Order: sequence, then structure tokens, then C-alpha cells
Amino acid sequence: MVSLLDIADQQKTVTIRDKDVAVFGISAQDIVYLFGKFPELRLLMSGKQADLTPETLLKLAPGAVAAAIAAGTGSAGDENAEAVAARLGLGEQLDLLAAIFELTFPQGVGPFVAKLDALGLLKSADDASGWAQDMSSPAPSSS
Amino acid sequence: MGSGYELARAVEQLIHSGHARIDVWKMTPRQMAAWMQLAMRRKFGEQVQLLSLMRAARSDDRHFQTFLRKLRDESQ
Repeated sequence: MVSLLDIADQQKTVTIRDKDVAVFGISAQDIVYLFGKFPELRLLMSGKQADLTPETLLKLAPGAVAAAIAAGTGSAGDENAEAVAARLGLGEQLDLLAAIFELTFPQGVGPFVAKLDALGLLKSADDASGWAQDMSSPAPSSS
Repeated sequence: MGSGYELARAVEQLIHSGHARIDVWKMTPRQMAAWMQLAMRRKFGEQVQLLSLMRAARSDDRHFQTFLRKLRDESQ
């Protein structure tokens, strides 16, 4: 069930080296920026590969980690912020990514993809089998 | 098909539902999924309402007039 928290703008605070870092969800436009810079992210998010978690991101697209952290701390595309994020320790990166993922995706990427699938948004127009197709009219009889 | 397509479909769906384009691009996937789920629930509610009206329209005249009068009374 959707809650008010799911539609509200949210932020979390992650403490890194005794400093509080404000963390936000990554917006659609920032995801587009990340897709452009790291095309491998598209496959990761399609649900056809292993589910996207902070750990799989680190393993399968390590180059995208710093950019994702920069985006999740309000500095998408900022090379200085990406450089700072890249110098963080692995544990610190995972802490930040975990908070960013929680704010970005509803209970991980899998449920988000599943939800899109349930809404018929992952099907092409030709093979749609969801609600929209069920509501279409049958073809007229030729007789 | 990569997730860029799914994201584009979600953006289109939300704009079609009446969200401002600039607002949609600032949404996280979590927010987009939540808004779409709410829209879907509203849509299903509207379908239930439509089916109820269709069923009422097919009933005999006396029942239909009763139904219509009830709706009119409730709308005052």
C-alpha cells in the first residue's frame, strides 16, 4: 500500500567521518544523466540482470558509484562532488548508497520493476497483456 | 529493452495523468511508482462507477428512475 511517505520529498542524514551528510533520492532527470554517463546502469535497472542493490552497483558498475552518490547528495554532475565520493571508503560508500537507494526506489529496484510490470509499463504495445489490453474491444466479425 | 524505456513510460504516464512535466522529472522512481499506483486505484474506482452506471441503465425503468433520483438527491 502506498503511503504519504512514498510521494513526499524525503531526505535522510548519514554520518560520515563525524559529519552529517544530507542524502536525497535520485530524481528521474538525474537517473537520465547517470544512464547517459554509465550505459551499463540501464541493464542493471531493467530487472533482467541481478537486482540492483548498493552491493551489485559496486560490483557491476563501480564507475557509477561516485556519480550516484554525488547525485544522491544533491550534486548530480558535479565533478568535484564525484571526486570526493570516489575517495570515500567502501563502507562509507555503501552507507550512503543504502540511504540513497531507500529514498529512490520503493523497497529496492525489484518491486519498482515489478510494479511497472503490473501496470503494463514494461510490455511493448504489441505484446501488452495488462489491464489496457483487457479493456480493448474484440475485433469485428467478418461475417 | 533497457530501463530508460520504462522510465520514459512512467514519465509519460504521469504527465498524461496531469502532473506538470517539470515536477515529474524531479520525482524519484519511488515517488513515480507511488503516484502511478494511486492513479491506477482511482482509475479502477472510476471503472467500478462506470460499470455500476451501465448496469443501472440496463435495469427496468422503475429501478433506473429510483437509482437516478438517489444520485440526484445525493448530488444536491
